[in-house]
Amino acid sequence: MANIMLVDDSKFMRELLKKFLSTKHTIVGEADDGTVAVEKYEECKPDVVLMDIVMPHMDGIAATRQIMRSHPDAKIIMCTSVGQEKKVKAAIEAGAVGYITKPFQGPNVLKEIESVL
Amino acid sequence: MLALGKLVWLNEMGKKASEMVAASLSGMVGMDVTMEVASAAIVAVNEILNVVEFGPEDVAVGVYVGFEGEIGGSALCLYRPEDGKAFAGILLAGIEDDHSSSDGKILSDMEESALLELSNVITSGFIDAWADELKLALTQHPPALVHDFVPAIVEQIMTDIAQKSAYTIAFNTRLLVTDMNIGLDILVLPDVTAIERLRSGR
Repeated sequence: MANIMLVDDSKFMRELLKKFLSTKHTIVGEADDGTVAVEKYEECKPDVVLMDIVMPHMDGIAATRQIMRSHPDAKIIMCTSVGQEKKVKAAIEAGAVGYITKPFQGPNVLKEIESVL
Repeated sequence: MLALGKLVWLNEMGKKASEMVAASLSGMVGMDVTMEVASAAIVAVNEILNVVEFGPEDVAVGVYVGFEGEIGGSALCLYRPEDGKAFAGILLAGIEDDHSSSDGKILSDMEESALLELSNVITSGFIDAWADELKLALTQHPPALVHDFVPAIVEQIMTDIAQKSAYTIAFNTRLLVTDMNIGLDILVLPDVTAIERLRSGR
């Protein structure tokens, strides 16, 4: 069981991820944009972050970069939509350890988390 | 403009996009989803209201998704409120909804959030079909939802696109989920001039 932080501007997506993860993992924090995610990471110190890429204010790539600067061992999995290959590449360069593509399916999300733990 | 109007690939693209969307939605809702494109047409921007399956007095839920890259533009999903609510209900199965709403709207905040994601998946399919066909990298912006009279919703997007192109592409579609038959109109409003330029070898 791992401590997970969810970062997505969509309330629905956060709830959907909670539904998929609740039996195997603990949700220790949530954020709806990158700025909040950077602050929450300090509070929650999660084992894994599921980070949306496209968000208002600060996007997931910038937030990943900031978190990795102070926590180089952070495990951040990017949540992407189809057609965001360039952004995924930028996210990996920023330090993300993996990615999952929307629309999510529960087993795939769990598998990706297990692969980075 | 006429050259684009003759293109058979408009229908093929609609078919390809609808297959992609149906596969994505089936995974998302855990049910068989079929998407049919009833018609695809290139229309003058100022005639959009004549091709959508809504009257000027109808209220709709509209979700805009902007995109940029070698071709810029917008995509718009238009739902009848009851259809939007029905689809949100399917997506929210097993998810707690406190039914809170900021200003007494038909859809709760959670239903709106679900519909935004649904529309994101649908428009991604159509935008990706352009990107695949024309070998482009297009980036989508976060979706935005509006609940208003149809002319007001469409006017907002018309204003943006009219600066780049006098034409747009409209798809009338139906989504079939188990025994439900949910209709929506999808308008893809790319910079048509840029598409013609790309297709003719730049």
